[in-house]
Formats: sequence, structure tokens, C-alpha cells
Amino acid sequence: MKRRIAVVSITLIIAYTVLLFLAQVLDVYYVHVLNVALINIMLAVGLNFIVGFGGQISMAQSAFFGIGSYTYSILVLHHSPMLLDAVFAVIITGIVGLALGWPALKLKGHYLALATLGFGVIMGELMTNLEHITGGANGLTGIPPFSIGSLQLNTDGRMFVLLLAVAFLTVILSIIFSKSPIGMRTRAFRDDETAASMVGINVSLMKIMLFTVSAMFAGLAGVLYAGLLGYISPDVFAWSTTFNYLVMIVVGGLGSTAGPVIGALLFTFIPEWLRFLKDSYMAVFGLVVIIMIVVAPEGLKGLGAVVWARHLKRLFRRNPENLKASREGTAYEHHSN
Amino acid sequence: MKKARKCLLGLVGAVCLGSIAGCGTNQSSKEINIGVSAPLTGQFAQDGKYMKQGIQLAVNDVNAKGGIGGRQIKLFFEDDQGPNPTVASNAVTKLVTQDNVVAVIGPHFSPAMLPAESLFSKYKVPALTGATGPVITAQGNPWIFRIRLNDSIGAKLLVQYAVNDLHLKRVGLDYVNTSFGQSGIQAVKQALAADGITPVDIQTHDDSTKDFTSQILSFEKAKVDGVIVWTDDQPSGLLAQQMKQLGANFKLIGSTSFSQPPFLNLAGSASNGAYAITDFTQNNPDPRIQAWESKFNSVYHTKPELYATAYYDAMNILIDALQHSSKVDAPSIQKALENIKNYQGVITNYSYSSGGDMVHAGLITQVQNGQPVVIKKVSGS
Amino acid sequence: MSLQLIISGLAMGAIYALIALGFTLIWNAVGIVNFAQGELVMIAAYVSAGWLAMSLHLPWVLNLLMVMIFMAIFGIFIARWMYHPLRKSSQLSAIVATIGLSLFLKNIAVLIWGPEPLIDPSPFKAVTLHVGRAAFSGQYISILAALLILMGLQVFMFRRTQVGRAMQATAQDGEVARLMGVNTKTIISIIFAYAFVLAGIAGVLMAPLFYVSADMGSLVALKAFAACIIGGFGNVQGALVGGLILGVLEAFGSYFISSQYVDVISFGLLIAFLIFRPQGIFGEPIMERP
Repeated sequence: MKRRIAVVSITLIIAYTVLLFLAQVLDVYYVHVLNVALINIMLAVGLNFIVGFGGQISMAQSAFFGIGSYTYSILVLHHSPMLLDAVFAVIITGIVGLALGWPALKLKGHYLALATLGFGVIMGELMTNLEHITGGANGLTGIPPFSIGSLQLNTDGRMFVLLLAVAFLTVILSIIFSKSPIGMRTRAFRDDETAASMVGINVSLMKIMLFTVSAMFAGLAGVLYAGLLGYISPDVFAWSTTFNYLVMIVVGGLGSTAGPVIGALLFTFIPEWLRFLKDSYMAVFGLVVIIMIVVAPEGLKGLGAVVWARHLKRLFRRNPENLKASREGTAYEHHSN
Repeated sequence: MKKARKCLLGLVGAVCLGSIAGCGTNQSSKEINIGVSAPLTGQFAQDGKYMKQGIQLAVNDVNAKGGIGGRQIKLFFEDDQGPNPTVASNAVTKLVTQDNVVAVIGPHFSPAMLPAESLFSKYKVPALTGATGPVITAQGNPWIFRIRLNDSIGAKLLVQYAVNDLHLKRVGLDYVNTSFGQSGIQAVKQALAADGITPVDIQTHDDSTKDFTSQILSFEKAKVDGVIVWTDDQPSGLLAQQMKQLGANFKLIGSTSFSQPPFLNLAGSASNGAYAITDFTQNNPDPRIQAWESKFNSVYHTKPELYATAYYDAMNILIDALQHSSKVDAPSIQKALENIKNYQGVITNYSYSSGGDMVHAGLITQVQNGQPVVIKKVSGS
Repeated sequence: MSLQLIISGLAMGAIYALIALGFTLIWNAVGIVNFAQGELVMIAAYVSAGWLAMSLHLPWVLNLLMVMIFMAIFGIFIARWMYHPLRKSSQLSAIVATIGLSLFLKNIAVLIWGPEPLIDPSPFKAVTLHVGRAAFSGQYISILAALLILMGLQVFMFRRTQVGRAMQATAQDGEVARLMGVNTKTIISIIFAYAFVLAGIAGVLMAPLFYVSADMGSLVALKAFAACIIGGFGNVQGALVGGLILGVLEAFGSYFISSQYVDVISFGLLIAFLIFRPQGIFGEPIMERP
């Protein structure tokens, strides 16, 4: 176990360094899109807590994204200390998540989906209508860039360093969670709620916890988005955008950490790559989403696991640890069916 | 676990490699690169289509005449999906850093223009926009030029007309709940307050609102003489249509939409009598506009509407600035744009004033027999 | 005054209910919410206004028939090539596939028919009916009539016909139905075809009222989804009552409280409703689907 942790951390450190290096040589446009992708990663990894680990369809992610972003921006525009505002915004988002989750998580399936979607519609209206507080549909302008001491993170390259660090942190948190005893228990209740509650797991408490964590990740993403663009408006957090995050985690693969990361990267980059198609690129993108789901219903991560298990496994037979890893993968596929 | 990590790393790597592969710059010393950020997809794609028509026409003209100093203009169109700050910032970043454009036309929507403003000043590239929200030029950003009538000026002119010429006493307000509608109605409220009038009823709707019955009944209950409406094409048409159906007889006075073809088509005979403040209408007997209409018609086989015309002018202003610019680079073009004085466009005479506004006059129109007729030319500071 | 409000509320409500019928059908058959239902309505409206009415100048009834055929074929196609491969996957995969479909349809419509909204002529639109001092468009009558006919048909089909029973069996337990000799694949195709036809009828009837544009379906479909929940998910009468209640609620909320906060009011009530009576008005206590 200790060796594994060491391997994981070394891999992550190397990956981080390589990515940082890449940011220096990449065109600023790609760094900018990568920044957006990193924010999407936080949103998707966060949403995966309640949807992937918890098995509950939440459509409130865009609303939480907005709550975090607006709370931070309003505070920071009143010249309060940046770091404090950021922490406060994340906590507020968590509290709202808790307050919504408490009653809403008694609902199941599509009822929960609609309740959370309705919450998204209401939040969108409030952001648009409370003009004195939120700046209305024009949004809030002139949000200052983050600063560490005297260093202003006012370029895409500098923001990338920060965003990458935070994204890595969220990914690591998600991995730790999924391997922890609590993570195991969430998997148990997702697969069979009745059985889980019979063995003494407090299912509702677990759900509310997952929902709150989801909300806080979205709140954090909101804070960083405001710092990245320097501008927010209700359009960014419209109820219809919540579907994007669902698409990300399902296309990537539910219930793991890699899935949402893959999904968020693809969801951000594919439309940018398709830009050369001009007017038709969004239609093509919609088609790509459908094909991905139909070809790999359990997500691309799942597709990778299946290919791995069927064809590549025997190549690595001699190494027992690899074999074990691939078994884990296939076993997991059965779970999610 | 291990596999998941490998997948993740592999993918991130692939993304980055893809990015490097796409890094090639397309800078060419022969061509002048101009970027256009417009809504080419989604709900507002029609605006992008019109923008494209107007801009392309102006560029075709100048390129056919040999370009500027022997250099052809090359256009780069990017989609910003209308009011989408994230996509707009991607599009503008791509234009200024990848395509090396020396100037940008658009974004057209305020929520797309506002995040782009900091990019334009950061990368020092001038942008010409048709976004009419006062907030656009209120930022004091020297790189932003507005080629349409500022809503705060337009609203003031419209209110003056409604109060002084139409003698409205009890005024109702209705607006679309977007940045366009909110800032427009804010300007209307301020102008009304200056005349000592408080609106007796204020209603709001969305672009997707289909039923205006409650709003119309509410205006009737408030006994309004007229309603000033700041909204987009579709709601304007539905509102007029349903007013007619319910037999409402207050006056309808509105933003530009109320003089444009979509409104006229959608509302049909219900459009008659509606007033509007606008910069451009079709079928204006003015020979300058007649010539423009036949020119446009010969290429696209239809009549030009407001956005095609406004952005045709925008492109021509930019071409004029390029011709008078000492060097073909962004800062020189910005200087040349600031020197635009009395440039004769199709719509009006454009003059730069500090803050970035280039248009200072408008038209009051009324729909008569299904066609908007100019009944007054108005101008303000 | 109130009469006028009730009438216009009922009219919007009828539109919600009409779309809700399609939701209900697919939900009953395969247990997923089709998030592309609104876009199906939009596509049908475009086919009607963009191709048939404008290019072919077909009479209205023939126009409706052509759209129904088109939508039926489209529905079978989606059932075979999109839903069928996903039938054994998680519910969420199928939902996200419908989200992808809605994104695709919205954008393809702009590519095919251009970005300007189209106007659909209709024989009912010119008629304005007066009840006392209240006025309403003849188009609404056509929607209300279609709603009642289709609802009756749906109830009849599920309760009385062989196909309907097979559908119900498929919905309740696909595996058992298959073992009992029901051709579930065909039945699911029929259900999709019918649900798409419902969207088609809604599209043709709504086109003259709404102007045909790529986003005409999104918010209306969300409201229809809400109507389903209010009435009780999967319940045909529930879809009708839920739709009408929501429509009237909006009209009154907008008039008496605030047009600015009308969605806050209706969705706030919806959430309250969900929390206190999640099974809806007509629903039985929730039974979670597998």
C-alpha cells in the first residue's frame, strides 16, 4: 500500500511537471482552452461524487457553479481579502447544497433530477433578476485576477499553474475518497440501497454528504472561473448548461475518477477541434456525443477497460499486479450494469 | 486504479500533443488578417448570418479593387454562440493569438463582448462591435469601438419622442430579461425620470415567452396610454400579435426590433402603428440606402436588414482606418479608428467620440400598411 | 379578466400536456425521460413549416399526415439505432444519449432550414373566438381537441388493445415479457414511433403559434416534464391535469405576482410539491425502477 501511494504521488508529480512545461511551449490559445477544461474537470469530478459514487441524478451542478462564482465575485468586488472570499464562497455553496440536499435527496431518480433542475432554473432567474446584487443579465465585470503576494495571475499561463494544481488536488481527493472505507460504503448503497441500510449504513446521510461535496467542488470551480475570465454572467450558469456536466461524466464513465476527467477534457476540446467545420461543428459534436454513448454506454473509461480485459490482459499475465488491476476493471464493469 | 490513471495520463498527453500539432501559425505577410467573432450556431445564429453577409460584401469589394496597399484582406470567422462568455473568450483568444488578426469585428452580444474586452486590451487588438448596451463603452476601454447607437442615447431619444410628440402620460414598460433588455429599459427609466414620469406598470419576459396575455391584461388594468418595449425580434412579434387578438389599444413603442423584417413578418397586420427607434430600415427612400439595397440584392437576392448593414459599415470603417493607418498593425489601426470623423456609411455618418461610440443619431419609425416609415430623424450626444 | 387568464393559461397548459403525453409514453415503455422531446417537436414543426407548407404547399391535413409518417420513421430509427444498443446500460446513459440527440437536432435544424425563424400558416390561426369579453385563437381549440383525442386514444390503447398490453408488459418487465412471447424489440420500436408521432402532432399544432425556431422546444419541454411530475409520472390523466394546472398557475402568477419571477414561482411550487407529494396528484407511491 505504501509503495502504491509512493508510485501514485511520483506519477502525479511527474505529470504535473510535464504539463507545466507544456504550458510554456504551447500556444496561449490552447493554454486558455486547457484552463477552461481544468475548470470543467473540477465540475465533472465534483458531479461524479453524487451521480457516479452516489447513483443519484443531480442536475444542480450549474446552479452551484453559479452560487460559488457569484458569492466570490460579489465579495471580491467589495475589496475583501481574496483568499477569505474564496473559502467563504466554497463554504456557502456547500451550505446551500446541504440545504437543498436535505429535503431533495428523499426523492429518487427522475424526481430528484427535476427538483434539482428546477432549482437550477430558479437560481438562473435570481441571478438575472436581482440586478442590484448580481449585476443582472449584464453580469459582473472587472473581477480582479488572483494574486499571490505581488504576483498577479493575469495571464493564461500563470492561471494554468494554479488551475492545474487545484484540479490535481480535486482528482487526488476523488481517488482517495473512492478507495477509502466511506467510498466503499457509498458503492454498496449505490448498488443496493436496501441491503446497505440493513447492514447499518446511514444511506440518507451519505447521500447528503456526497451532494454537499459535489456542490463545494462546483463552488470552487465557480471561484476559479471568475478569476480566470474576470467576468461572469447568468449565461454561464444557465439551467441548460447543467446537461453539459452530465454528458461529460457519462461519456467519460461514471463512478471512477478517470471517467469525469476524460469526459471534461473531451467535452472542452472536441468542439474547439471541430471549429474548422464552421457552422456545422456543433451538430457534428452532438452526433459525436450520441455515437460515443452508443458505442461505449458505460463511458470511454469503461470501453478502455473492456478492451484491456479482453485483449491486452494476457500480454501482461506475468506481472501479477497488472493482472489484478485489470480484474478490478472488469469486475467494476459488471457492477455498473 | 492503475489503469484509470494510465487512461487519464494518456488522454491528457494526447490532448497536449494534439495542441502542439495544431500550433502552426498562419501569419502571412501578404494578407491582412481580420477576425470576426459572431454567433454562427445556436439560438442567435441569424444575427451571425447577417453579420457575415455584410462583412463579406465589404471585403469582397476592397479585395476586388486590389486590397489595401496591394494586400488582400483575409477574414477569420469564429463562433461565439451569442451570449456565451466562455465560448466567446475561446473564440477571441483563438482569433488574436492563433490567427494573428490585426482587428476583430464582434462579439455582437454584451455578455460575449464583456469578457472579451479584457482580452482585447491585454492583447492590444481593436474591436468593432454592434452590441448596444451602455456597459460596453462604460468600461473606458480604448480598444473597443461601437458602430451602433448606444442604448442610453437611443432610449433617451425614444422617450423624448414618446413624451413630447406622442404626449404619453401613463407609460408601461416591458423588456426582455437579457442584458440587452435590462440595460435598455434602465436607460428608458432614467430618461423618463428626467421628464418626471414614473412608469405605472413594468413587465418582463424571456426570449422563449410565448404567451403575453397576463402582461397585456396587466397593462390594461394599469390604464396605460402606451408601452415602451425593449426586446428581441420574436417576442416583439408575439406581443403585437396578441395585443391585437385581445383588442388592446395602447400604443406600442419599442427598440429596433419593432422596425425590422422579422417583426413585420411575424406580427403581420398587427405590426401596424408600432413605433421604434432604429438606425436603419428597409425601403428608406434615401438614395444612399436605395443604392445599398440593390447592391446587396444583386449578391444575396434578398434585402439587407439592420445587422448586415451595420456590419457592412463596420467593415468599411475598418477598411478606411486601414487605409489611413501608418502601419498595418493593431495599435496603428486603433489610432486610425480614433481619428474617424464624419465617415459616410450607409446608415449614418460615423464619428469617433471618446468612450468609443461612433453613432450619434437614429430614426423614429412607425409601421404603416405593414412597412416601417421614417417619421423623424433624431440625434443626441 | 380572470376568464381571459384562465383561457390563456389553459391554452399554454394544453401545449404542456400535449408534449407531456410523449414523455409519459416513453417513460412507461422504457423507463427513461427523453430530454430530446422538445427538440422532436421542433423538428416536426420545421418539417411542417419549412418543407411541406412552404415548398410543397400541401393542404393542412395532408401536411399533418406527412409529418406523422416522417416522425414515425424517425422514431423507429432512433429506437433501433440509439435506444436498442443502450437498453441494458444504466438509465443515465440513455438519458445522456437523448441530451446528445437534442444538441444534434437543434444544430442540424439551423443548418437545414437556416437561422431565421419560420412562420407557419395555419387554417385555424385566423379565427379568433370570443367567450364573453375573453378572446382566444382558433389554434388553441385545435390543440385542445387534439389533446383530448390523443389522450383518449392512449388510455384506450394501453387498457384495451393487444399491442397496448404488450407495451405495458414490456414496460413493467422487459425480460419477462420477452419470455412470454412478446417481441419486445418490435414493441419498443412501435412505442418510439408513436411517441415521435405525438411530438410531430404537437409540433404541427404549435408551429403557427410559436414561430418555428431551433429553441422553440427546450423550455416548453421542461415545463411539460414538470407537468408530468405534478400529475404523477407515467400517468396519462396526470399529464393532462398537470399541464393544465401549470399553465393556469403561470398565467395567474404572472398577472397577480410578477412576470419577472414567474418561473421562480412555478418551479418553487414544483419543488415544494415534489417534496411533500412526490407521487404527484394521480400517482401511486413511488416505486423505483430498476
